[in-house]
Amino acid sequence: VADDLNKLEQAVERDMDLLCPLPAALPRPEFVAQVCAAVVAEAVRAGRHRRLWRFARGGLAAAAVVLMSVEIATRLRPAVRPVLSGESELAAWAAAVDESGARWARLVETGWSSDEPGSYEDAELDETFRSLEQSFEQFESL
Amino acid sequence: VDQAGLDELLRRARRRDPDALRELVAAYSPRVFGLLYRLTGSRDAAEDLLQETFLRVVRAIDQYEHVGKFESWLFRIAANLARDRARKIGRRGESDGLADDALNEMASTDARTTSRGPDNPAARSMKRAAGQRLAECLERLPTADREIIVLRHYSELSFREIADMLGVPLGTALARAHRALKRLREELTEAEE
Repeated sequence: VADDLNKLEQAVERDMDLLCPLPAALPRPEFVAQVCAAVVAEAVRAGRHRRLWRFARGGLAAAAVVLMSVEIATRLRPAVRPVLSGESELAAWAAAVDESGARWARLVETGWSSDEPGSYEDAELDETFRSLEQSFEQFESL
Repeated sequence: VDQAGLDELLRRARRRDPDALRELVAAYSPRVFGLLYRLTGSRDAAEDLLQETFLRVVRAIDQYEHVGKFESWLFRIAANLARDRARKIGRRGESDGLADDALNEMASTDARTTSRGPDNPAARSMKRAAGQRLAECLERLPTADREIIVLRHYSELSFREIADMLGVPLGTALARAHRALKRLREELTEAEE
């Protein structure tokens, strides 16, 4: 088979002489100059991209190192016993917000929405603000 | 470009040395353009693809490992671009533009050919006519058949290397080339009659 292939290759190579008279078509010199310029510009662009990518990669690596250090430092820090669990804190805050909301609603219905300004009670207003403050404190502790 | 010169040129081109890139374009653009022109039949298309070929080369040159022949890589890029163009044109149902300006090539006859050719104007004219007839017959060949013999003619790669480039067994490449040349001879005989 290899011998047959060699013979065929030799025959085809001989026949390729048929293409010798083929007139060569050449690119216009001004177009070749244009291609040169485009290629050099592309090389500059590709080099810039490469440098940017290297810079970005370096930045990402540095950020990863910082994050890992923070993570390790956090793990090594002695654990502080939580006063409340996350869920109970959230539930307490939600309850405080509800209560404060209810107080505001009551206040608006009975006080500010009233035709007679100043008819609401000061104690009620104080209590409302206190409950609002509590809800913020709960929120901050989350 | 000899092998040592090419090694050095590619080493510089990998560092994106502008002079090396210009030298590469200047050294290879006649042959790559010749291939693209024979595959597309259009000077405009061949110029577009020539530029795209070298842009792709410069984008990937730092990943290119110069173990084989640079020509093999370069002409593979060019041939793939020509094939993609033919496929796109085929999908759009257009003609592939062959012969749209192939007749203009008389004006751009290669200086190398004429310098080797006879000094007698009549003989030169006959040679031109024969070359023109050959170019027209070549365009009538099926694309795959034309591609293999045009690749061999312009890339100066062996059929073994071309078979590797096209991803076909050597036997298939040779059979295709043999069939193409036989058909080309028949076309030429018909054209002469």
